[in-house]
Amino acid sequence: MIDPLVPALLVDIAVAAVGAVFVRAQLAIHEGFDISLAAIALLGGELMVAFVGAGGDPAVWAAAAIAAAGAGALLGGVWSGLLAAALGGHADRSARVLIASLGLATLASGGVGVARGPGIRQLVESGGFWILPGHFAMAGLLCAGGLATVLIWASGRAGFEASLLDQDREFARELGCGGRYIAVSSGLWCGAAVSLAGAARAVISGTSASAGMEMFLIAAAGALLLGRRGFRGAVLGAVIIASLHMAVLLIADPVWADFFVFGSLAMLLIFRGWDRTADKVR
Amino acid sequence: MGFLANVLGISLIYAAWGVASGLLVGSLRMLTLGTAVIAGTAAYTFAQAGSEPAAWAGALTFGAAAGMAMTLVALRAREHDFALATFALVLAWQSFVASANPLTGGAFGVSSAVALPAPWGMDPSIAFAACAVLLFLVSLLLALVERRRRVGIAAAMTGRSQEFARSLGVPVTALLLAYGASTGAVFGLGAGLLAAYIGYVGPTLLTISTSVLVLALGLAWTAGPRLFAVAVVATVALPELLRVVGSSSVDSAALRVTLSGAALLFLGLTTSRRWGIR
Repeated sequence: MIDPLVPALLVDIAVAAVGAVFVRAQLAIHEGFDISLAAIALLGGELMVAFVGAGGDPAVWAAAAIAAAGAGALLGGVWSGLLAAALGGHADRSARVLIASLGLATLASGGVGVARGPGIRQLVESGGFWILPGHFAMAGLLCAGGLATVLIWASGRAGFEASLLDQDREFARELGCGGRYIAVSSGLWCGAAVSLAGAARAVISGTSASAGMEMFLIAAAGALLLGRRGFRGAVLGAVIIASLHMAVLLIADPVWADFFVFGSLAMLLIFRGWDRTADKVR
Repeated sequence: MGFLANVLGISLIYAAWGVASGLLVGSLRMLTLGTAVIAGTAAYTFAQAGSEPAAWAGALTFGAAAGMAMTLVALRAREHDFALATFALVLAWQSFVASANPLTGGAFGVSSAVALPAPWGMDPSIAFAACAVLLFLVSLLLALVERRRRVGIAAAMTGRSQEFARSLGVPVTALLLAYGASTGAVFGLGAGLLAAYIGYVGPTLLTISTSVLVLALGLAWTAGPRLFAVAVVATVALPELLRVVGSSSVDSAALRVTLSGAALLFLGLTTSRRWGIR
């Protein structure tokens, strides 16, 4: 017998991996933590629940997935482009990216609260086809779609340029990398992937106004865990953090699992320190 | 009258917290999201204390201590790392208070036995508003002291570069501790006021949304008093006032979150030169 929690947590690991690539890519391009992931994931989750709540037909699920991916791509692309246009070359870019994206995530979270009230919104069971194993299968497909999307982007030219920026910003700039095209491309592709991941999470665990914020922090912990090891390092870090989260969740109380993950991220950020060289290179 | 005093009291508590947050953001360039941890620690201490003097002393002391601990994080994590670290600390703290039943009452929280000081038979709402006015004046006094004394310059240097400030003889750690203690005391006293007025402290009272709102107000404070006043009215007073026309407390809270997000978004993307973190 497998604990029903395990497949749900496997989905969480995949979701964290997708989120970690988004965080790493945006960190490389905009030089700051982009919390818009929370807003995009929330959008994907809410769209999925809203669509499928209207009927459990497979065509509706497919339409929901396409709508989630499309809306995520649109929001991610526009947002990332806006950040590049408004804050490109700004002295306090890293802080401003964080503040503005925290604003967007909070706006989305509050907007959901205003629109439909607080609490978790679950999928409505409609018909006998989409029973629980069907939900897991659908979530798996959405995660696979999300992972495939970020992998395709990372293996392309834009992903390679973002990777270069992540490794050595000055060298990448000398080569002409880092234009607005990269920012829009990253937002577009990674936004679609994050939205699919948010939809996958909503299929399994439902969607709540604060779910996106928690997803962002787990993804950020994964993206930072292995330092500057590119997108592969981010994915691996996310798998490690989410697996530890899963282990604590299975052994101890769920609330203590959150305490462990968020406490670990705080310690990671505090103890990785700050290289005191003149150009602040870590 | 009682309702308006209630709105005024809550608005001024948030305004005092905004000024305190503005001191950290403006001079030290510390984008702290740890307000909920500082205020929450003080609020729980206040609610658990047996007597009135112990409750206020506890809120003040624990608020200052939590504020000092939070600013010390800045010795190792800076700029966006600091903001994210304090963000994670708030979520870890929220998980902790929701599960540490013997200490915090878990999800049910704890009731506060200590009432607000209400001399001459004053109405509790009026007493609440009067105490909030005092707290706001204290925070303004702190801001005035910072502006007029050398400490403001030392803090600005520290915010730019801790290493540079040290090389010029600024006692960086002591300065951070002083800022942490003074702003933490404001957060602590405000939390005590809230706990005494509401009569309850639970995991939903002070959350990451509180931190986000206070950060938005702090950034507005650094941009000037006019924008700060607009921000306080728009994000705190307005959602409370809408309760007159039938908005529930849940709707008001959601609207407050939405408006604070909008304020942060605006402040993050604008490039005014008066911005504190420049």
